Formats: sequence, C-alpha cells, structure tokens
Amino acid sequence: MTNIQNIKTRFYLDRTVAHGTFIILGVLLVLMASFSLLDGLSLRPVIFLLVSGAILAPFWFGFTQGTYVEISDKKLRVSRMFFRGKYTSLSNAISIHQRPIYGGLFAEVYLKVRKPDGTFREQGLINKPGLKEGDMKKLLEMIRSINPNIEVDQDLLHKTP
Amino acid sequence: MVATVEHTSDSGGGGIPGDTGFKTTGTVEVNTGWGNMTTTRINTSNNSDAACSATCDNTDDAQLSDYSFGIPSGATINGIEVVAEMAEGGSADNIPVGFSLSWNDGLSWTSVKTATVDGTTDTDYTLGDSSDTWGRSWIDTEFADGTFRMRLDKNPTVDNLFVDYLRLKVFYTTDGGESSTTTVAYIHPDHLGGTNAITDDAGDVVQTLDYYPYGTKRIESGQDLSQREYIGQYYDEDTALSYLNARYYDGARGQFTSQDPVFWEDPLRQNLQNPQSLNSYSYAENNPIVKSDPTGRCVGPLVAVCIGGGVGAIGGIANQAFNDYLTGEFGERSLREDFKTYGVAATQGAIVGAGTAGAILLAPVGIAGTAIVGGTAGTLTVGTTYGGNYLLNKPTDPTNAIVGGTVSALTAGTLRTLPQVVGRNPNFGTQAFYTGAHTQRQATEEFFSNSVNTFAQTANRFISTQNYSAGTSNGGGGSSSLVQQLQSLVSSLKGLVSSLSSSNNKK
Repeated sequence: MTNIQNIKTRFYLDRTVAHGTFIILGVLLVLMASFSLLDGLSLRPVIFLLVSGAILAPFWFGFTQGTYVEISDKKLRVSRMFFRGKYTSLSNAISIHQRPIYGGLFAEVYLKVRKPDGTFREQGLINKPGLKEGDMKKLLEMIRSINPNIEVDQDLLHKTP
Repeated sequence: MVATVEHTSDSGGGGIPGDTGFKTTGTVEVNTGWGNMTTTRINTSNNSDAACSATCDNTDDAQLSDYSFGIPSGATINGIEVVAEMAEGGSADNIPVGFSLSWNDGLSWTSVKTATVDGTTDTDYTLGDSSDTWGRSWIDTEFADGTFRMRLDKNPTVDNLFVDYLRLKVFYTTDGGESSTTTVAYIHPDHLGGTNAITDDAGDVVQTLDYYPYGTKRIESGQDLSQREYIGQYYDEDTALSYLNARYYDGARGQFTSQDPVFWEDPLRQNLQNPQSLNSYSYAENNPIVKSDPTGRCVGPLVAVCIGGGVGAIGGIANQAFNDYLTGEFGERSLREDFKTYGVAATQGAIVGAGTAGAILLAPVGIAGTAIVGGTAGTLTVGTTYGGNYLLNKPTDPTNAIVGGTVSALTAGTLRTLPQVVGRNPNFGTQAFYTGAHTQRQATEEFFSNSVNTFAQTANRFISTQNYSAGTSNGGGGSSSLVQQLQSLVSSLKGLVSSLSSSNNKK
C-alpha cells in the first residue's frame, strides 16, 4: 500500500485560467498596437508587441510553473512565482476555511494553524477559482489524510449547483 | 428396523442452534446465518424425491434441507463446510451418511461426501472446509432460497441415526479479500452529492437510495454496495450515524451528536447576524434541501478577467478625457488622432484591469500574493504608459509613469487586505448576498476602492498639471520635484485613512 504521507505532491494552478488570462491580455495588446496603424504601416506595433511579450512572459511562466501548493513530509508550503514560502506543519493545522475577497468575487482558502504559544495564525492556500475543483478536492483529501483531525469547511466539501 | 433422520437442536429444545464458532479472521468473510432453513424428509425407497406425507413412516431415509444465504453480488465462493452432530441410534456401527449439495433446487447435485457415524455419543462430523468447493465453481446467486439445497442420505437398512443439528457455512471473499474479484459500479449522486443509485457495468441498477431532507433513508433497495450515502459521506450501519468528518450526524434527529467545534474554538467565526448558525448542533442551518455553496465562484474566472478588462477600459477612457479636459488637447487633434488616442487609452486600461484580475485569480493568498497582485498592476500600468506613448509617438514622463504605477499597485494590493466581515460568503442571485453583513462589507470595499481611485486620479492629474505649468506637454521634468510630489501623496493618504477611520467608527 502506498503511504500517501510520503508522496511529494504539488498542486498547480488551473492552467486553463492561466492560459486564458494571458490570451486575453495578448488580444488586448494586439488591439492596442493596431491603433498605431492608423498612421500607416510602421514597425512600432511590432516592437511594442515584442517588448510587451517579453515583459509578460515571465509573469506567465511564473504563474504556470512556479506557483503551486506543495505537500511534503506532512508539511505544506505555498510557492508563488518561484518564491517559496515557509513550511507549515500540517500536524499543527486545525481547520480549513474559505472567505470572500474582492467583494465576494473570489474566495480565499486558508488553513488555521495553532502556534506554539497556543494562539492561532492563518496560512493562505490558494484562491478557489485558481485551482480546479478536482485538484481542490485532492488537496483537501491529502491534507486530511495526513491530519484527519482537521476540520474542513463543509462548503468546501460539498458543492451544490 | 427403524430408519429415521432427525433434525433437532443441540439442546433438544427444538429450533436451530446458534453459531458455535465458524468464523474466521482476516479478509475471509463467513456467512454465519442458517437463515430460512427448511427441512423435508423424503422417502427414497421408491426412488422418488417426493415429500412424504405429514406422518412420515420409517422408510424415510433422506432429508433435504433448503438454505438461504445473502451472498454479496460478485463475491468469490471459496468453500462450503458442513458440520453435523450425529450419533447412532442403535447397535449398528459405522453408519455411512452421505452429504451432497444442489445449486438448482435438487436438479443437480455435487458428488457425495460421506461421514461414517460411530458410537451413540453426539459427535460433530465435518465435511468440506473453507477452501473446499465440493468439486464445482459456485456463484453468489446459487445460494438463494429455493435454489440451494443440501441432501443427507443414509442406508435405510441400517439402524437409527440421530442428527442433532446440521450447520452449513459458506466461505467467500469480496473486494479487498485475498482472492477477491473486482466489480465495476457507478454511483449516481443526487443534488447534494449523496448516493442515489448505483449501476453495474451493464448499466443495470443494483442499488437505489433516497433520503428524507435530513438524511434518514426513504428508499433503500437492492444490494448494499455503497459505504457513502447521505450527502456522499460515510454511513455507519451499526450506529445509524453519518460520519461528517468533524462530527457524527444523526439523520433521524436532524442534528449532530456533538457541538460544532467553532463554538468552543473561535467565537469570531460565529455569525451573529444569522441566528440559524448559532445552534451548535444544527445541520446545514436547518436548510438541508437547498444548501447553497458560497464558493466564491460567483462568476467564471475568465469572465472576471473580462470584467476587469472592461472596467479598466472605461477607466482608461475616463482618464484620457480628464487629461484632455485639463490640457484642451481634444479639440487640437483630428478625429483620427482622437480615435487612436482613446483607443490606446481604453486598451491601456483594459490591459491593466484584466491583468490585475488575472493576477488576483492566480496569485496564491498571503502577503506575497498581495505583493504579486500589486506588482502586476504596477508593472502593467508603467508598461502600458510607456507602450501607449510609444505607439502614439509621445514622450513619457518617468515620474508620471512611476507614480501611476505605484498608485495602481497600492490600489490593487490594498483592496485585498481589507478586513473581512465574518459569515458566509456572498452569493450573487441569492438572498444571502444581500444580508446586512455583506452589504456593509460591499459598501466598505466600494467606498475604499472609489476613494483610492479618486485619489489616484487626482494625484496623477496634480502631477501632470504641475508638469504642464512648466511648459512640458505630457512629459518632461516639472517644477515640482519628485520628493514634493511624494510628500503630497503621503499627505493625501493620511487624510484618506483618517476619513476611513471616522467612517468605520460611526458604524
């Protein structure tokens, strides 16, 4: 039997969202560049698109490759644009909740963790729309397989239409 | 000579004896029931299997016993064991007694296993074992009532045979057993994720479940395959409770069996504006039929990006119009130049708005996430400012671009850190969105957002005006130094914070 607790697992963002966002940005950039063609053909829009693409490329790469939630050896860590956060021991986590951000347009999923002094702190995990639902469930199941005592917000477990 | 076959309990009190220890451990499961055993004594002297009359005579020399076992569908039959407690009834020694099994109500029989009864003391005689299938491959449906039958034969010419009891066990394994077979089943959930119907790989319904609103079963038919039942959670058959992860739930009561941990853990998570949530034992706020899911997915992710882009485009046009109002450039440009200028401004804003919305979606939470959102907004603002001016063939004031980018970054980043109102997430299209708590939060966020944006516009225009007063069109160094501009920015921010504090105190 596989010991799930020893599997190093990364939960990446929903690539559809990441790619879609940058495709929309690309279309807007092309639209923006096309306005300069009203003055006639020139290299300006081409140069603009090349420079813009060069600026956005690291963002795209950082979001699609360097942003993920990682679980390793009963600890959890969030990496953002290749910047890795600190490990949080899941044995100290007591619950998983969500709360609205930006007027409720999105939901932030976070862990509630008990600190050594007995007080609590919050460890953000992911924005709910940024992760596929299936991955979200797997993430929650993996966390609970490591620490079954973690209380999970029922709204995260049961999605109804 | 009397030849009889008796079937009585071990204690002589009639009935069927209880389980005397046929169980095994591990993955092998044993059917422990004698269920529905019926016995018919028959007369075989005339080679007939017809049942004897109510007053069986001494020629009865065989007994047919029908059994009914609830063998799970798809189970692998590993063995059948028969134990008979028998004794001689007279002086004859070594009475041969034959046992055989039928899987089709007596039409066909297995080969006969023989026990030789010796002595007048009740003795257990065992035939077959946990791995003996009596020479054939059995399937689960062959153990149903009216199908499975055991026959006991003795030589009618010998003395009495007393059979105190007959026990028969079926050893089988289900999925997970050492010799298990895998069967495919498809679970069809209801609107709450509960198991509603299960079909096999042929599409036939093998189990049907339905529930009353609070979880007690309304319909339960077919095989008992699913462990997950009401709302897709484990159901404990022994206690009739649903295991809902943190607590056990009693569907018959419509309540949890213990308190919600939040009530002794973090009072801040209690929502005082929703009395239904204050019952620490209640389930689903006593609204189990329509349980909304405030997932925060009020709009699709990419729709949110498009909304951000649209809002940004409107902002870009408004910004350009305000700029033209200050400079009076609108009338100096041709229609084509105006179209180009406003087109670039609109797409500038759209890119910043869409990119920021995308960053909010993609950036994980926390301070670093906030920094990424702010950084993305700032970078896009600076980048599109330079890019837009480049496309319009205009110079760019670095100070103007940096201040614009900084304000944009602060606006996008700060909104994220606003304190949240406790309670359930808002859900567009439902009444929950319009609760007092969320209305207050929405108003606070909109007030803050509008204030910061207004401030940003004003500060940006102030800097631009200073630059224009120095005779530089949309760029170049102005009479106001960067330090003075930043001081003005800080001063304005202090005023904004002060007004926000007084607003919150009033609430």
